Amino acid sequence: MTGSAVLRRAGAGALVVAALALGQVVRTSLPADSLIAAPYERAGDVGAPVVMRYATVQATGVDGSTVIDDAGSALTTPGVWVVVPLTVTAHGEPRRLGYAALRAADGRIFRADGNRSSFETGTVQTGLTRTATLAVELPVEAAAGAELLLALDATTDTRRDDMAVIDLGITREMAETWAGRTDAVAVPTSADAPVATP
Amino acid sequence: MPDQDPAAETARRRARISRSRVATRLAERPLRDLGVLGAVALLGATAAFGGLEPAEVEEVAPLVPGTTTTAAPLEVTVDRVLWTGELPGAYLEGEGNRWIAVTATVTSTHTESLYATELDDAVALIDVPGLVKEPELGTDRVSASTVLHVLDGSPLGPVQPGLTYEAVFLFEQRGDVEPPTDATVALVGRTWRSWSWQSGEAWLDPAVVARATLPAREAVDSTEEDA
Repeated sequence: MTGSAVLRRAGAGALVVAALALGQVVRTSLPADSLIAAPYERAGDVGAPVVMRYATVQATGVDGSTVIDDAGSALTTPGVWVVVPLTVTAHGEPRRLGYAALRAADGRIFRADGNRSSFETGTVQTGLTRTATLAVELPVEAAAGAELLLALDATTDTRRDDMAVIDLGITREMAETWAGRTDAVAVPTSADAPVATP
Repeated sequence: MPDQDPAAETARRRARISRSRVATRLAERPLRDLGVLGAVALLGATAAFGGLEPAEVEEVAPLVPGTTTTAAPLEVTVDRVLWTGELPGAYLEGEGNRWIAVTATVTSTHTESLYATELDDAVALIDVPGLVKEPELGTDRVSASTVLHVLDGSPLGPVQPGLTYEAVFLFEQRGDVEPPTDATVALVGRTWRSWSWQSGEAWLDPAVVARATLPAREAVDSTEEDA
Protein backbone atom coordinates (compact mmCIF):
# COMPACT_ATOMS: atom_id res chain seq x y z
CA MET A 1 0.00 0.00 0.00
CA THR A 2 1.44 3.40 -0.94
CA GLY A 3 1.79 6.25 1.47
CA SER A 4 -0.90 8.32 -0.25
CA ALA A 5 -3.39 5.45 0.03
CA VAL A 6 -2.66 5.18 3.75
CA LEU A 7 -3.20 8.91 4.14
CA ARG A 8 -6.50 8.72 2.25
CA ARG A 9 -7.73 5.92 4.47
CA ALA A 10 -6.57 7.73 7.60
CA GLY A 11 -8.33 10.87 6.44
CA ALA A 12 -11.56 8.95 5.79
CA GLY A 13 -11.35 7.42 9.24
CA ALA A 14 -10.81 10.80 10.83
CA LEU A 15 -13.85 12.18 9.00
CA VAL A 16 -15.98 9.30 10.29
CA VAL A 17 -14.85 9.93 13.87
CA ALA A 18 -15.50 13.64 13.49
CA ALA A 19 -19.01 12.97 12.14
CA LEU A 20 -19.79 10.67 15.05
CA ALA A 21 -18.49 13.22 17.55
CA LEU A 22 -20.56 15.99 15.94
CA GLY A 23 -23.65 13.80 16.09
CA GLN A 24 -23.03 13.13 19.80
CA VAL A 25 -22.69 16.88 20.48
CA VAL A 26 -25.93 17.64 18.63
CA ARG A 27 -27.81 14.83 20.37
CA THR A 28 -26.72 15.80 23.88
CA SER A 29 -27.09 19.55 23.38
CA LEU A 30 -30.61 19.63 21.98
CA PRO A 31 -33.64 18.38 24.01
CA ALA A 32 -34.92 16.30 21.09
CA ASP A 33 -35.54 13.15 23.14
CA SER A 34 -37.66 14.90 25.79
CA LEU A 35 -39.65 16.87 23.21
CA ILE A 36 -40.49 13.77 21.20
CA ALA A 37 -41.64 11.90 24.30
CA ALA A 38 -43.58 14.78 25.94
CA PRO A 39 -47.26 14.27 26.79
CA TYR A 40 -50.04 16.30 25.13
CA GLU A 41 -51.13 18.79 27.76
CA ARG A 42 -54.85 19.64 27.96
CA ALA A 43 -55.24 22.81 30.05
CA GLY A 44 -58.14 23.67 32.32
CA ASP A 45 -59.25 25.48 35.46
CA VAL A 46 -61.08 24.53 38.64
CA GLY A 47 -64.77 24.02 37.84
CA ALA A 48 -64.23 23.36 34.13
CA PRO A 49 -64.14 19.89 32.50
CA VAL A 50 -60.92 18.83 30.80
CA VAL A 51 -61.59 16.40 27.97
CA MET A 52 -58.86 13.87 27.16
CA ARG A 53 -58.66 10.84 24.92
CA TYR A 54 -59.48 8.38 27.68
CA ALA A 55 -61.41 10.41 30.28
CA THR A 56 -62.93 13.74 31.21
CA VAL A 57 -61.81 15.14 34.55
CA GLN A 58 -63.04 18.12 36.50
CA ALA A 59 -61.64 19.67 39.67
CA THR A 60 -64.64 20.78 41.72
CA GLY A 61 -62.75 22.77 44.37
CA VAL A 62 -59.47 23.22 46.23
CA ASP A 63 -58.73 23.41 49.95
CA GLY A 64 -55.75 23.14 52.29
CA SER A 65 -54.51 22.77 55.84
CA THR A 66 -51.61 21.29 57.80
CA VAL A 67 -53.73 18.26 58.72
CA ILE A 68 -55.90 15.93 56.65
CA ASP A 69 -58.30 13.20 57.72
CA ASP A 70 -57.45 10.35 55.34
CA ALA A 71 -59.97 7.56 55.94
CA GLY A 72 -59.86 8.13 59.67
CA SER A 73 -56.09 8.71 59.93
CA ALA A 74 -54.91 12.20 60.84
CA LEU A 75 -51.83 13.07 58.76
CA THR A 76 -49.80 16.13 59.72
CA THR A 77 -47.42 17.79 57.29
CA PRO A 78 -44.37 20.00 57.88
CA GLY A 79 -45.54 22.01 54.86
CA VAL A 80 -49.14 22.38 53.67
CA TRP A 81 -51.69 19.88 52.34
CA VAL A 82 -53.48 20.75 49.09
CA VAL A 83 -56.75 18.84 48.74
CA VAL A 84 -58.61 18.72 45.41
CA PRO A 85 -61.91 16.87 44.91
CA LEU A 86 -62.43 15.66 41.32
CA THR A 87 -64.84 13.87 39.06
CA VAL A 88 -63.59 11.36 36.48
CA THR A 89 -65.66 10.07 33.55
CA ALA A 90 -64.21 7.19 31.50
CA HIS A 91 -64.24 7.11 27.68
CA GLY A 92 -64.06 4.04 25.49
CA GLU A 93 -63.24 1.44 28.13
CA PRO A 94 -62.90 1.21 31.93
CA ARG A 95 -60.14 3.52 33.15
CA ARG A 96 -58.04 4.01 36.26
CA LEU A 97 -55.95 7.16 36.31
CA GLY A 98 -52.48 6.11 37.43
CA TYR A 99 -50.61 9.40 37.45
CA ALA A 100 -51.46 12.41 39.62
CA ALA A 101 -49.14 15.16 40.79
CA LEU A 102 -48.82 18.85 41.55
CA ARG A 103 -46.35 20.82 39.46
CA ALA A 104 -44.96 23.89 41.16
CA ALA A 105 -44.15 27.07 39.30
CA ASP A 106 -40.43 26.20 39.46
CA GLY A 107 -41.08 22.84 37.78
CA ARG A 108 -40.76 20.59 40.82
CA ILE A 109 -43.10 17.59 40.75
CA PHE A 110 -44.99 16.42 43.85
CA ARG A 111 -46.49 12.99 43.18
CA ALA A 112 -49.68 11.65 44.77
CA ASP A 113 -49.09 7.90 44.88
CA GLY A 114 -47.93 6.85 48.32
CA ASN A 115 -48.98 6.34 51.92
CA ARG A 116 -49.25 10.06 52.53
CA SER A 117 -49.77 12.05 49.33
CA SER A 118 -52.35 10.00 47.45
CA PHE A 119 -54.97 9.86 44.72
CA GLU A 120 -57.03 6.79 43.95
CA THR A 121 -59.99 6.73 41.57
CA GLY A 122 -60.63 3.02 41.55
CA THR A 123 -61.80 1.60 38.21
CA VAL A 124 -64.12 4.00 36.43
CA GLN A 125 -66.51 2.07 34.21
CA THR A 126 -67.08 3.24 30.66
CA GLY A 127 -69.37 6.23 30.48
CA LEU A 128 -69.73 6.46 34.26
CA THR A 129 -68.41 9.13 36.61
CA ARG A 130 -66.61 8.64 39.89
CA THR A 131 -65.59 11.15 42.53
CA ALA A 132 -62.08 11.02 43.94
CA THR A 133 -60.02 13.36 46.10
CA LEU A 134 -56.34 14.16 45.71
CA ALA A 135 -54.20 15.15 48.70
CA VAL A 136 -50.59 16.28 48.26
CA GLU A 137 -48.21 17.83 50.79
CA LEU A 138 -45.67 20.35 49.61
CA PRO A 139 -43.75 23.39 50.84
CA VAL A 140 -45.89 26.48 51.37
CA GLU A 141 -43.98 28.47 48.76
CA ALA A 142 -44.50 25.71 46.17
CA ALA A 143 -48.29 25.65 46.60
CA ALA A 144 -48.84 29.13 45.14
CA GLY A 145 -49.31 28.77 41.37
CA ALA A 146 -49.25 24.97 41.46
CA GLU A 147 -50.93 23.00 38.64
CA LEU A 148 -52.61 19.62 38.95
CA LEU A 149 -51.38 16.98 36.49
CA LEU A 150 -53.50 13.91 35.72
CA ALA A 151 -52.69 11.13 33.28
CA LEU A 152 -53.55 7.53 32.59
CA ASP A 153 -50.50 5.32 32.80
CA ALA A 154 -49.85 3.74 36.19
CA THR A 155 -46.20 3.13 35.40
CA THR A 156 -45.64 6.88 35.28
CA ASP A 157 -45.07 6.72 31.53
CA THR A 158 -46.79 9.89 30.41
CA ARG A 159 -45.20 10.02 27.00
CA ARG A 160 -47.21 10.77 23.88
CA ASP A 161 -50.67 10.69 25.51
CA ASP A 162 -53.08 13.25 26.93
CA MET A 163 -52.37 14.83 30.29
CA ALA A 164 -54.76 17.20 32.08
CA VAL A 165 -53.08 20.32 33.45
CA ILE A 166 -55.45 22.15 35.79
CA ASP A 167 -54.60 25.56 37.19
CA LEU A 168 -55.72 25.38 40.82
CA GLY A 169 -55.71 29.16 41.26
CA ILE A 170 -53.77 28.98 44.54
CA THR A 171 -52.38 32.35 45.61
CA ARG A 172 -49.61 32.95 48.11
CA GLU A 173 -52.18 34.33 50.56
CA MET A 174 -54.26 31.17 50.28
CA ALA A 175 -51.22 28.96 50.85
CA GLU A 176 -50.11 30.93 53.90
CA THR A 177 -53.63 30.79 55.35
CA TRP A 178 -53.69 27.02 54.91
CA ALA A 179 -50.26 26.75 56.55
CA GLY A 180 -51.78 28.26 59.69
CA ARG A 181 -54.75 25.87 59.86
CA THR A 182 -54.72 22.89 62.21
CA ASP A 183 -58.28 21.64 61.61
CA ALA A 184 -58.31 18.53 59.46
CA VAL A 185 -59.57 18.63 55.85
CA ALA A 186 -61.42 15.43 54.98
CA VAL A 187 -60.17 13.24 52.14
CA PRO A 188 -63.06 10.89 51.32
CA THR A 189 -62.53 7.64 49.48
CA SER A 190 -63.48 7.44 45.80
CA ALA A 191 -67.05 6.52 44.94
CA ASP A 192 -69.48 6.46 42.04
CA ALA A 193 -70.97 9.88 41.49
CA PRO A 194 -74.68 10.07 42.22
CA VAL A 195 -76.77 9.78 39.06
CA ALA A 196 -79.00 12.77 38.45
CA THR A 197 -82.63 11.74 38.53
CA PRO A 198 -84.90 13.27 35.87
CA MET B 1 21.80 -3.01 13.79
CA PRO B 2 19.07 -5.39 12.74
CA ASP B 3 16.82 -6.58 15.56
CA GLN B 4 17.11 -10.26 16.60
CA ASP B 5 13.34 -10.52 17.28
CA PRO B 6 11.89 -12.82 14.62
CA ALA B 7 8.46 -11.23 14.91
CA ALA B 8 9.89 -7.78 14.24
CA GLU B 9 11.95 -9.13 11.35
CA THR B 10 8.80 -10.64 9.82
CA ALA B 11 6.98 -7.34 10.18
CA ARG B 12 9.81 -5.49 8.49
CA ARG B 13 9.89 -7.95 5.62
CA ARG B 14 6.17 -7.54 5.05
CA ALA B 15 6.51 -3.79 5.21
CA ARG B 16 9.23 -3.88 2.58
CA ILE B 17 7.06 -6.06 0.37
CA SER B 18 4.14 -3.64 0.70
CA ARG B 19 6.50 -0.75 -0.07
CA SER B 20 4.88 1.26 2.79
CA ARG B 21 7.21 3.71 4.44
CA VAL B 22 4.77 4.30 7.28
CA ALA B 23 4.48 0.59 8.04
CA THR B 24 8.25 0.24 7.82
CA ARG B 25 8.81 2.98 10.34
CA LEU B 26 6.15 1.62 12.69
CA ALA B 27 7.60 -1.88 12.54
CA GLU B 28 11.04 -0.54 13.45
CA ARG B 29 9.75 1.24 16.57
CA PRO B 30 10.04 -0.53 19.95
CA LEU B 31 6.81 -2.07 21.16
CA ARG B 32 6.59 0.29 24.14
CA ASP B 33 6.38 3.24 21.75
CA LEU B 34 3.49 1.60 19.93
CA GLY B 35 1.73 1.15 23.27
CA VAL B 36 2.09 4.85 23.99
CA LEU B 37 0.81 5.71 20.51
CA GLY B 38 -2.16 3.39 21.04
CA ALA B 39 -3.04 4.99 24.36
CA VAL B 40 -2.85 8.47 22.81
CA ALA B 41 -5.13 7.33 19.97
CA LEU B 42 -7.62 5.86 22.47
CA LEU B 43 -7.74 9.04 24.56
CA GLY B 44 -8.10 11.20 21.49
CA ALA B 45 -10.96 9.12 20.12
CA THR B 46 -12.86 8.93 23.42
CA ALA B 47 -12.36 12.65 24.05
CA ALA B 48 -14.65 13.31 21.10
CA PHE B 49 -17.43 11.51 22.97
CA GLY B 50 -17.02 12.95 26.46
CA GLY B 51 -13.90 11.14 27.58
CA LEU B 52 -13.34 8.17 29.85
CA GLU B 53 -15.11 7.97 33.23
CA PRO B 54 -12.95 9.13 36.19
CA ALA B 55 -12.15 6.57 38.84
CA GLU B 56 -14.21 7.42 41.93
CA VAL B 57 -12.47 7.35 45.29
CA GLU B 58 -14.87 6.73 48.17
CA GLU B 59 -14.50 9.28 50.96
CA VAL B 60 -16.35 8.55 54.19
CA ALA B 61 -16.75 11.45 56.58
CA PRO B 62 -17.41 11.12 60.30
CA LEU B 63 -21.10 11.25 61.13
CA VAL B 64 -21.79 13.89 63.78
CA PRO B 65 -25.20 13.90 65.48
CA GLY B 66 -26.97 17.20 65.04
CA THR B 67 -24.95 18.07 61.94
CA THR B 68 -26.57 18.00 58.50
CA THR B 69 -24.89 15.64 56.06
CA THR B 70 -25.57 15.36 52.35
CA ALA B 71 -26.52 11.80 51.43
CA ALA B 72 -27.83 12.62 47.97
CA PRO B 73 -30.64 13.05 47.15
CA LEU B 74 -31.31 13.70 50.86
CA GLU B 75 -29.88 15.94 53.52
CA VAL B 76 -29.90 14.02 56.78
CA THR B 77 -29.40 15.14 60.37
CA VAL B 78 -29.12 12.18 62.72
CA ASP B 79 -30.30 12.79 66.28
CA ARG B 80 -29.94 9.63 68.35
CA VAL B 81 -30.17 5.84 68.48
CA LEU B 82 -32.81 4.21 70.70
CA TRP B 83 -34.27 0.76 71.12
CA THR B 84 -37.77 -0.25 72.14
CA GLY B 85 -40.26 -3.10 72.02
CA GLU B 86 -43.71 -2.32 70.69
CA LEU B 87 -44.14 0.82 68.64
CA PRO B 88 -47.49 2.14 67.31
CA GLY B 89 -47.65 1.91 63.52
CA ALA B 90 -44.75 -0.55 63.26
CA TYR B 91 -45.19 -4.32 63.27
CA LEU B 92 -42.46 -6.71 64.39
CA GLU B 93 -42.05 -9.95 62.44
CA GLY B 94 -41.02 -12.02 65.42
CA GLU B 95 -42.50 -12.20 68.88
CA GLY B 96 -40.14 -10.80 71.46
CA ASN B 97 -38.14 -8.86 68.90
CA ARG B 98 -37.39 -5.19 69.33
CA TRP B 99 -36.91 -2.09 67.22
CA ILE B 100 -33.63 -0.20 66.98
CA ALA B 101 -34.64 3.32 66.04
CA VAL B 102 -32.47 6.00 64.48
CA THR B 103 -34.19 9.36 64.68
CA ALA B 104 -33.28 11.95 62.09
CA THR B 105 -34.59 14.81 60.00
CA VAL B 106 -34.53 14.32 56.24
CA THR B 107 -34.97 16.82 53.42
CA SER B 108 -35.11 15.91 49.76
CA THR B 109 -33.12 18.11 47.41
CA HIS B 110 -34.41 16.31 44.31
CA THR B 111 -36.89 17.96 41.93
CA GLU B 112 -39.40 15.10 42.13
CA SER B 113 -40.91 12.87 44.80
CA LEU B 114 -38.74 10.13 46.29
CA TYR B 115 -39.82 6.69 47.38
CA ALA B 116 -38.64 3.75 49.50
CA THR B 117 -35.86 2.93 47.02
CA GLU B 118 -34.03 6.13 47.89
CA LEU B 119 -35.21 6.49 51.49
CA ASP B 120 -34.99 3.13 53.25
CA ASP B 121 -31.22 2.74 52.85
CA ALA B 122 -30.33 6.40 53.41
CA VAL B 123 -29.65 5.48 57.04
CA ALA B 124 -28.11 2.05 57.63
CA LEU B 125 -26.66 0.04 60.51
CA ILE B 126 -23.34 -1.79 60.29
CA ASP B 127 -22.17 -4.74 62.40
CA VAL B 128 -25.16 -4.70 64.74
CA PRO B 129 -25.80 -8.31 65.81
CA GLY B 130 -29.19 -9.97 65.49
CA LEU B 131 -30.76 -7.75 62.83
CA VAL B 132 -33.63 -9.55 61.09
CA LYS B 133 -33.08 -7.91 57.70
CA GLU B 134 -30.18 -9.13 55.59
CA PRO B 135 -27.39 -6.73 54.61
CA GLU B 136 -27.56 -5.09 51.21
CA LEU B 137 -26.03 -7.35 48.55
CA GLY B 138 -22.26 -7.13 48.57
CA THR B 139 -22.12 -4.86 51.62
CA ASP B 140 -22.09 -5.04 55.39
CA ARG B 141 -24.82 -2.47 55.94
CA VAL B 142 -28.47 -3.17 56.74
CA SER B 143 -31.14 -0.74 55.55
CA ALA B 144 -34.25 0.14 57.54
CA SER B 145 -37.24 -2.18 57.63
CA THR B 146 -39.54 0.84 57.63
CA VAL B 147 -39.36 4.59 58.03
CA LEU B 148 -42.07 6.45 59.93
CA HIS B 149 -43.05 10.11 60.10
CA VAL B 150 -42.69 11.13 63.74
CA LEU B 151 -45.47 13.75 63.75
CA ASP B 152 -48.25 11.25 62.98
CA GLY B 153 -46.65 7.78 62.95
CA SER B 154 -47.47 7.17 59.28
CA PRO B 155 -45.12 5.35 56.89
CA LEU B 156 -43.05 8.05 55.23
CA GLY B 157 -43.60 8.23 51.50
CA PRO B 158 -43.47 9.77 49.04
CA VAL B 159 -40.79 12.17 50.32
CA GLN B 160 -41.69 15.48 48.70
CA PRO B 161 -39.05 17.95 47.47
CA GLY B 162 -38.10 20.70 49.88
CA LEU B 163 -39.99 19.41 52.93
CA THR B 164 -38.07 18.59 56.13
CA TYR B 165 -39.51 15.50 57.81
CA GLU B 166 -38.88 14.27 61.33
CA ALA B 167 -38.31 10.61 60.64
CA VAL B 168 -37.47 7.46 62.52
CA PHE B 169 -35.62 4.66 60.71
CA LEU B 170 -36.57 1.31 62.25
CA PHE B 171 -34.40 -1.82 62.27
CA GLU B 172 -35.82 -5.03 63.73
CA GLN B 173 -33.52 -6.96 66.06
CA ARG B 174 -34.10 -10.47 67.39
CA GLY B 175 -35.18 -10.68 71.00
CA ASP B 176 -32.61 -13.38 71.90
CA VAL B 177 -29.80 -10.86 71.34
CA GLU B 178 -28.85 -8.33 74.01
CA PRO B 179 -30.06 -4.79 73.28
CA PRO B 180 -27.23 -2.65 71.88
CA THR B 181 -25.30 -0.13 73.98
CA ASP B 182 -23.97 1.43 70.81
CA ALA B 183 -24.51 1.10 67.06
CA THR B 184 -22.55 2.00 63.94
CA VAL B 185 -24.77 4.24 61.85
CA ALA B 186 -23.97 4.94 58.21
CA LEU B 187 -25.46 7.50 55.83
CA VAL B 188 -25.75 6.32 52.24
CA GLY B 189 -25.74 8.68 49.27
CA ARG B 190 -26.46 8.04 45.60
CA THR B 191 -25.46 9.46 42.22
CA TRP B 192 -27.88 10.84 39.64
CA ARG B 193 -26.95 9.31 36.32
CA SER B 194 -28.22 7.46 33.29
CA TRP B 195 -28.92 3.77 33.42
CA SER B 196 -26.23 1.67 31.80
CA TRP B 197 -28.67 -0.69 30.14
CA GLN B 198 -31.86 1.29 29.51
CA SER B 199 -32.94 4.84 28.81
CA GLY B 200 -33.67 7.25 31.61
CA GLU B 201 -31.94 8.46 34.74
CA ALA B 202 -32.18 7.50 38.40
CA TRP B 203 -30.43 7.77 41.74
CA LEU B 204 -27.93 4.91 41.51
CA ASP B 205 -24.66 3.65 42.98
CA PRO B 206 -25.47 3.76 46.73
CA ALA B 207 -22.32 4.34 48.79
CA VAL B 208 -21.55 5.24 52.39
CA VAL B 209 -20.81 8.96 52.74
CA ALA B 210 -20.61 9.21 56.56
CA ARG B 211 -20.51 6.85 59.51
CA ALA B 212 -19.98 6.80 63.26
CA THR B 213 -20.56 4.57 66.24
CA LEU B 214 -23.19 6.24 68.38
CA PRO B 215 -24.44 5.36 71.89
CA ALA B 216 -27.78 3.53 72.01
CA ARG B 217 -30.21 3.47 74.91
CA GLU B 218 -33.69 2.29 75.67
CA ALA B 219 -36.44 4.65 74.59
CA VAL B 220 -38.46 6.02 77.48
CA ASP B 221 -41.91 7.60 77.41
CA SER B 222 -41.48 11.36 76.93
CA THR B 223 -43.97 12.02 79.73
CA GLU B 224 -41.74 10.10 82.08
CA GLU B 225 -38.79 12.22 80.96
CA ASP B 226 -40.73 15.41 81.68
CA ALA B 227 -41.74 14.20 85.15
